[in-house]
Amino acid sequence: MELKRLQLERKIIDAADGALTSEEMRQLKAELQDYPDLLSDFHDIMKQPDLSALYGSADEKSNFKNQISNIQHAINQYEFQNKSFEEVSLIWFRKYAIAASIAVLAVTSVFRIESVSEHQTDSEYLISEIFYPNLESEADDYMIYLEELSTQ
Amino acid sequence: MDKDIRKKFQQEIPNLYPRLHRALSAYLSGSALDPEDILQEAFLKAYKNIGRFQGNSTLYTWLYSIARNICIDEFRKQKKESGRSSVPVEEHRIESDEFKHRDERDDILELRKAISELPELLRTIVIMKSVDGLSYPEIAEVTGINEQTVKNRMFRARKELAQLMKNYSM
Repeated sequence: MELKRLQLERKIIDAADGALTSEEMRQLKAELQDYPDLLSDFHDIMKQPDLSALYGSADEKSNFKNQISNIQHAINQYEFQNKSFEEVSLIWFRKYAIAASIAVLAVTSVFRIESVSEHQTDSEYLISEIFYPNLESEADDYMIYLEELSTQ
Repeated sequence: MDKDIRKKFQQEIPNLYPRLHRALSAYLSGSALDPEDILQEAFLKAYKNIGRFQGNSTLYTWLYSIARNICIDEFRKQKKESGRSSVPVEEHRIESDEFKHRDERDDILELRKAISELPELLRTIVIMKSVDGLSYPEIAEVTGINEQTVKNRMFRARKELAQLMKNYSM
């Protein structure tokens, strides 16, 4: 008896979901004649409005941009907290590798410039001579002119 | 393997969030809980426990059950503090422009209020089926009860809903 009632309850829900054929519906109504309380429930349930439109449709992804990025941020923080020292070091190294390289280059360049200015060399002059061997220098001409003047 | 699942999970967040937000807003209608706070906690909890996701259910229903469990814990905390009281109709906000006529708007408000007054399990089943469109096997996964019992609970839910609507003389 109780089992039959449970079966009928499930059939009523199938009917409310529109999952029964007209023949199955007719059979259900006939069976419910022996259970007046269930028949009354059946009519009440079938009268209920469609609930699917009650809360509107799901909003677009773009409306939840901030919430989604907050979740992703929380996940990233969690990921970061759970990494080993080596992994963290690698992440930091990758993140700041370019900046660190530029900084190291800049610092070493300063030392190089300082050392060059302390011990004057004519390396720049030699290089220009190597690249431009036939190019006559006006300064050289001027020096020769001065030497000639002094010997006269 | 675990890394792949984590990556996939992160990629799926933007797709899962809007639907879960809608379902949770319906579930929490009239409650003081904020669906956005619950969802943030649920996503993070899911990510931390991604190894437990077997792939038998969908990611959506798995997240749904996590979010629901968080809500149940919060309801328990609230109940301890003050006891759950009925919620005034005014707290069931309508943000959609779909329901412009006053009578229709009032009907919607009262229906939402009626749903929010259902016991937790019945409310979950009504929302999952009627509002979110989940199948009975999916609802069984989320609630942890078998499919036949879900249908019987659905019958009880709709019967109680009919009674509540009669009380509001709808």
